[in-house]
Amino acid sequence: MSENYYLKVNNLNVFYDNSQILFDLSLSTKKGKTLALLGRNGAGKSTTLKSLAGLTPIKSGSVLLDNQNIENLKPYNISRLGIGYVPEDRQVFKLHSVEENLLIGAKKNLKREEEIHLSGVYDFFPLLYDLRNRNAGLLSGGEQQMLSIARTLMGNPDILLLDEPSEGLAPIIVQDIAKLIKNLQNTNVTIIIAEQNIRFCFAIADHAAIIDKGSIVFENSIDELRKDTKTLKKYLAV
Amino acid sequence: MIDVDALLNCFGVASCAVNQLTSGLIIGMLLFLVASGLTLIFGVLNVINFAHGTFYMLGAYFAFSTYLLTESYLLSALIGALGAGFFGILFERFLISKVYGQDILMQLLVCYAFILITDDLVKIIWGSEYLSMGVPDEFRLPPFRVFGGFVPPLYAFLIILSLVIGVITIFLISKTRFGSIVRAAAENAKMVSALGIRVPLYFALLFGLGCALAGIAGALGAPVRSLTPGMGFGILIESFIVTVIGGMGSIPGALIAALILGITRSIGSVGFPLFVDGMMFVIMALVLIFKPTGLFVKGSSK
Ligand SMILES: Nc1ncnc2c1ncn2[C@@H]1O[C@H](COP(=O)(O)OP(=O)(O)OP(=O)(O)O)[C@@H](O)[C@H]1O
Ligand SMILES: [Mg+2]
Repeated sequence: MSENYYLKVNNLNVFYDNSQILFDLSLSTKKGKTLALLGRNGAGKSTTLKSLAGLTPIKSGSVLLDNQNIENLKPYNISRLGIGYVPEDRQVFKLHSVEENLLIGAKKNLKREEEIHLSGVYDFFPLLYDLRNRNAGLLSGGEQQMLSIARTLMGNPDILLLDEPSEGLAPIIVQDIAKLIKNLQNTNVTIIIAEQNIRFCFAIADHAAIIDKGSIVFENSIDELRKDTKTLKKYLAV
Repeated sequence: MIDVDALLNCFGVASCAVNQLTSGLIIGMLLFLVASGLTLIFGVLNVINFAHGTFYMLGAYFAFSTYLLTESYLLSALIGALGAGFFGILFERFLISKVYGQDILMQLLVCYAFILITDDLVKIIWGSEYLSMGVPDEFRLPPFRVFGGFVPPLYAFLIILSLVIGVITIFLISKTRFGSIVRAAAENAKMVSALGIRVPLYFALLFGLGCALAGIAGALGAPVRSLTPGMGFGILIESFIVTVIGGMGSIPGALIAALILGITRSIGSVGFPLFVDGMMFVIMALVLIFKPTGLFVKGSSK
């Protein structure tokens, strides 16, 4: 069967030192779709995203981007292939201004038509425009989260890996982020989003995968998950 | 121990004071260039380049040979800087980057091996006698008269050029995209890499820049100093003192500290010739006691 998956992860095994974190983890998603990666604390969501971004070494298994193997590439090569990563703990450059943070993320993507530029990011995050000369380390947690997302968007990714973007944010800001994600979906960006906030995922995701103890235990459309109260209860305590 | 008479005699006469000040500024500015490279490398890569003096030496020898061939001092300085920078990049890529984040003893060992090998290579290529480049033809001009003292044009040129190079370096680090990326990578290299930036390349370039600063100091100083294998050692120690006084990672701090040491050296050669080196360590000790992070790096004063 010729597959039209845009990103396909097969039997990933990942270790931190000697302890295994991901066990034969497999995932796949199609172009322009949004996949929600769910699971309890410590299940391995962040580790999965870090592995895809090249930040955590992959012991075995493969990652195919548009049928090209990327599991052994360096983070900067993976990023240049169009995979943008937004870490769970924001990781803004604290001593740089907001604008300098954004400019470090700026990168062309030859595969994408619509380019995002500084002005486009400011249009979407007017708050960042007002704060553009402030040191990023002085921003509030929510502002840093926006900056972290905006900085990665400056690289014009086709695939966006978002690690708990709603964590610690006021509901109104979470709505902004949902709106942003919808915009990106309209420009055919593929998104994998690790989340604890299931209602947020119901609003934006096409598919869901649940990780438990480093393996995928559920993978289906988000509507199937919504109906599957047993799974919701068993793995997500909803 | 302090020869007060000699000091008063010199500073009572304008010409002597001008001469001592000029020579202090030269020593200080060349030291500043070397130390700014050292402090830059430490600030970004968090490694202490114990081999820094070797690049100063390489710069001097490259300039010496270029001058023999071309008789152009400026070209010699350029080749000295580029040559030292090039070898700095090779040293970073193939040796020191392998021990980033490791025990400082490992770094010391790698640097020491490199120093010994390079000193021997210099001996093989240029010989172990003292070499002297002499004042280049471009600068065989009558000296300027300043307050009754004489300032050779070469000295004035060296002082001004060093300052210009220092300003350019500060601009490069604080205002350009290169500088922005390098500072961000100093804070969080993984994140910079995840944003699509080839961090190891930037680290190598920065290391090369630091070594080029040492190299150009060696090259510029070649006419006023004699060249010898092992000449990097003294300047390395003095650069350490500069970074301790000025604060690790601070280029403006390196400038002020280097000037303090340069002037101390030149005044000391008149007033306390036997305690010049001792005095530099005394200054360093005082800074360590009252402001352990250095004069120009924020931190609690104990
Ligand atoms: N750098 C590390 N070194 C060792 N173990 C780690 C490291 N990072 C994570 N782990 C462990 O790996 C497991 C998975 O962590 P991970 O961060 O992927 O979970 P998560 O699903 O993102 O959890 P959360 O919802 O709390 O963010 C946890 O048991 C964690 O303790
Ligand atoms: Mg996590």
